[in-house]
Amino acid sequence: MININDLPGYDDAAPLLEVDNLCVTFESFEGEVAAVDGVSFTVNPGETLCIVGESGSGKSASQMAILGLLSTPPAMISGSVRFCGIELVHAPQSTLFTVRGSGVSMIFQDAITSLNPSLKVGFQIAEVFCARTGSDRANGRKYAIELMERVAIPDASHRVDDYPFQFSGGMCQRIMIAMALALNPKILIADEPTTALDVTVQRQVMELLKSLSKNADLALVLITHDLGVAAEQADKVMVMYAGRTVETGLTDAVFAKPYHPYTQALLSSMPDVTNNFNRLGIINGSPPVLTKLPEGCSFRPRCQFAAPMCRLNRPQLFVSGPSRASACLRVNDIFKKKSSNV
Amino acid sequence: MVDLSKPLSPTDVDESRQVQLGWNDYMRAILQDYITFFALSFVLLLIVFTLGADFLAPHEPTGLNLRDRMLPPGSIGRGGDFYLLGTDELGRDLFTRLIYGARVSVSVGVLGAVLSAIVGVTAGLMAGYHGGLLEDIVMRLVDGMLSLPSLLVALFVLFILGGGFGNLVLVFLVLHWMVFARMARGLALDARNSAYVQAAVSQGCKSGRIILRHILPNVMAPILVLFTLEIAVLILSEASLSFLGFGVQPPDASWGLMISGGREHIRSAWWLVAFPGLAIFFTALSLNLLANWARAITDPVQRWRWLAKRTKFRKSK
Repeated sequence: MININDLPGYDDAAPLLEVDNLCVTFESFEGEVAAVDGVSFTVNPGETLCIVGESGSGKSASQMAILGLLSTPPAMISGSVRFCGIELVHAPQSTLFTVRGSGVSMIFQDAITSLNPSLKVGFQIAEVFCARTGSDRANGRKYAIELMERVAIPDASHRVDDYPFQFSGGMCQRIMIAMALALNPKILIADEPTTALDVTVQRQVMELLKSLSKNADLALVLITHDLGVAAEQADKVMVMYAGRTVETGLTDAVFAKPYHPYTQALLSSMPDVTNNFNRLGIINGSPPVLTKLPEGCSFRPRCQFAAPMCRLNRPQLFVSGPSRASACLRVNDIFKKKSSNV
Repeated sequence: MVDLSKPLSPTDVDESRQVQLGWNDYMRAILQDYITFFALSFVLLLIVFTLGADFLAPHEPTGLNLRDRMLPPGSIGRGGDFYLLGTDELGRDLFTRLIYGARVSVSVGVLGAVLSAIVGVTAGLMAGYHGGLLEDIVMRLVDGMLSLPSLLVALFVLFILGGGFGNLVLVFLVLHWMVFARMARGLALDARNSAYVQAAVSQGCKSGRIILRHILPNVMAPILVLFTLEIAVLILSEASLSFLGFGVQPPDASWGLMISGGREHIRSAWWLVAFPGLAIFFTALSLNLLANWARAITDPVQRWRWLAKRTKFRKSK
């Protein structure tokens, strides 16, 4: 078994996950579609990064590309993803096999279909552990029970031999999490882990993820379109629109005072118990078709602050405040002025 | 807020096993389904006779008895021997030869199907999962081989290699693995994009493990159905090849060979052709019916329907 430390490029001092100018393009009948267009971010140990955005904004595609889960072709990936200094984009399969599970692990939206229906959950949880460490089935079973207890599945020692269909959705997601934790990864990517669950169970799963990241120093990359979840869980937040990052920053700062019209519009479309249940804000129009992106800023057609200058070129992300960045050309006109008036 | 240090309440645990069906329910359902019951009993009987031929056969399979030649079914020979299905032109007991013939026919069919399933499913799953050049090579080979006239190839190969059990199985392997490969590829293509395979990949499973542990168990049901059908097809082809004299060689008995031998005496001794013919017919029919049944009960929804029609639901506890 190869350890992550033995892989070429491993560097203790490097950030845990460093994504630099990641692009994912797909070949289609209408030309190339950039699902992810130049996304960069870093994740440090124990940190929680939330990626928010509408459907089709490239949240999932960027994370799948990190783990090399997109089949190439049709996807074309460029840019750089470094896990502890190890380059993952176009890395050899052996590197990816080693990093997946023991370095970066992933859980998915629909836990019930993400579990193999014809295998016992205990076997599935410990499968990779057994394969990597060469331990036998009995040991694996013991380890599976241990992991199931860690994710708070009641009566784990009996349920270890059950099949996925005998569990509810929330329990399946716990099993997925246990599976993902089997090799003690340093980063867990959770791709909308609570979308298929009802609210109370959602809450439990989020609490579980939070406690895991606290206790095990596990970095979380949480993909969600639930701003409430983001506000509560994340240290950092990254807002994506049409394949690009439109705003990043520390969660509290971004949510308190967004520096991009899209973030602002998203926040105003959330019900807020403190403002007398006023009408919710809406964002006019719909997300752009990726083959026909508008000129200039992709959000321009839906933006209430759009000006002629927004049509000229596509804005890059630039520093707009302490440890935060925005991709709005008019950030100084719109947001900073308004705040000084107040 | 949920306190995670405590176990969750029982309402959080899914209780999906409320109706439990036991062995008895299945037995009762089988007895109610006459057609399947017939097919299953015929195949079981065939297996018993095939395995226990040495104990169950009343006579020697190659024991000549020229005094009792061409006796019709149910007659008693001069030595006092009873011949259930009559005797052939050399005085050999037809029933005994039918049993020993079953041994050859069934084992050629099963062995041929097993080998072609192993080769075909392996090739198909790998082609479907990996895609790319491997898939192109395997699938074009499959297309090419499926376009060959199989009887002609079989005759040609057996003419060069000579007949006999081993060569027959080899020819069946070469001519039938494609059927499995094609199906397995389609199933693998479907499974490759499923969420559970993706989850396994993201957990760090290697491709061999994913194919064997994650995809294979989930695509087993349709392959099993095809396997059952293939046995029937192979038994039929063995019969035709042996009939043409390219399969099993005398003095070994096989159903096709027996029909071919009885053909000359069809005017005077109909039973020499009729009984081996019926044996082939019922075997193929039973296997086809069983395949149908297997398809129904390996699919959870269909199995439920099949059982519900024939059993009363019993709630346990």
